[in-house]
Amino acid sequence: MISGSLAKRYARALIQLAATPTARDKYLQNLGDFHAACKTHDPRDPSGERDLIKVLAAGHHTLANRRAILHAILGRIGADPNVKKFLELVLERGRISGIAQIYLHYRDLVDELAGRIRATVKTATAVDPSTTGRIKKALETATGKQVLLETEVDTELIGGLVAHVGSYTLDRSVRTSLDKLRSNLRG
Amino acid sequence: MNALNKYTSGIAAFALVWLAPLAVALASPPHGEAEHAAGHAADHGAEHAGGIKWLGDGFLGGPGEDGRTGFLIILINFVVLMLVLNKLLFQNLRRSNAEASDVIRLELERATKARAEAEALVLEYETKLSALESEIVEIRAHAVQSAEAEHARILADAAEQAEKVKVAATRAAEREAARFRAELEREIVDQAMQRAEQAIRASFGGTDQRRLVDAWVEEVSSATIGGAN
Repeated sequence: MISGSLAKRYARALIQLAATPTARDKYLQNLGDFHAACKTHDPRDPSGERDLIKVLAAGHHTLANRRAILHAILGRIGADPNVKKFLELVLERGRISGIAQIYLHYRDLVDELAGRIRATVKTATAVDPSTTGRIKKALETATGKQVLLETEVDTELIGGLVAHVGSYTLDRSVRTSLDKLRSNLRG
Repeated sequence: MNALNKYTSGIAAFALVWLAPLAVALASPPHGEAEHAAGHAADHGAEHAGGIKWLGDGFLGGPGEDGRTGFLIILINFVVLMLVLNKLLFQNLRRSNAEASDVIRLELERATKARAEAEALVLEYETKLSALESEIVEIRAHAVQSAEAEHARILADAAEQAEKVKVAATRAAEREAARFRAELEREIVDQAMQRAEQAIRASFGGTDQRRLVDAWVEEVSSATIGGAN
């Protein structure tokens, strides 16, 4: 883990390496794949000591060995050379444990430059594609940006939906209505 | 000093009164001699016929051949004797008497003074005693007054404490009642909400979900998020 401001500086540095929107998206894809690889967990290792991110951040492994592992992973995911150099730098600087924050900041920066925004919609039951399309269109109308929508099912909502767009939360769920009613009744 | 003069004059008078006849007697011849003298007087006329012989016939008026000493000499001797006595005895006697008198007078003065002091002391103690009685009465009255004031204060404090305890107990009871009331209300609300949730879950269907989504879409479509135009 590293501080948010430090992760943001690394994310800005990487985005400056990408000259075109295509390159930015490619870097984002590479960074996302590497982040996903770091999150993988071996069930045979309950302590998590052999997780990729733990190995890369471990000081008791030589830097050469860790660099070799990093190159192997990046080669397997077909990472761009700039991304390889960037992650090698992050590794050498001892910031590889903050790759998750760097990825999230970089994704936000890329989305912002591309005029995109990510939204998550939770519903009590799975929604059909037409409803998803209506929700996405409504969010795009409200934000004026392309919306990358993810849907989740949360039965605790009982009914309705909750959307998270950036730092905004648009809540019209039965659960929230019941909670408000409970709070009002308690005074 | 006057007393001493009087004393000296008394002695002189005594000597004159009582010693003069003695001198006369001494100056008179003895009985045989008297008879002889009578005869002699008869022989020599009225000069030897008795009475005071002021000056003797001897040296400086001392006894002459007739053996009679002049009264004047006797008187001078007596005066000299008195002077000698005065010098040797009377002065010391007067001095010792004066010293004794002074001692007695001082003792008397001291005794008088001591008596006066004792009387003053007695008077003072009597005054104190009488004042002590009044002081005892005053102290007793003060003690009674203090005790009454303390009694009143203790009663007031007790009443105040009782009132505080009463108020605190009332507040505690009110708080407890409020807590129970709130807890009961919360329990009622929880049960009501639980029932409501069960009822909603049982009756909530696709139509209701569509209606909520439609309302949400309509609301969001007319809203602006993140400063969008």
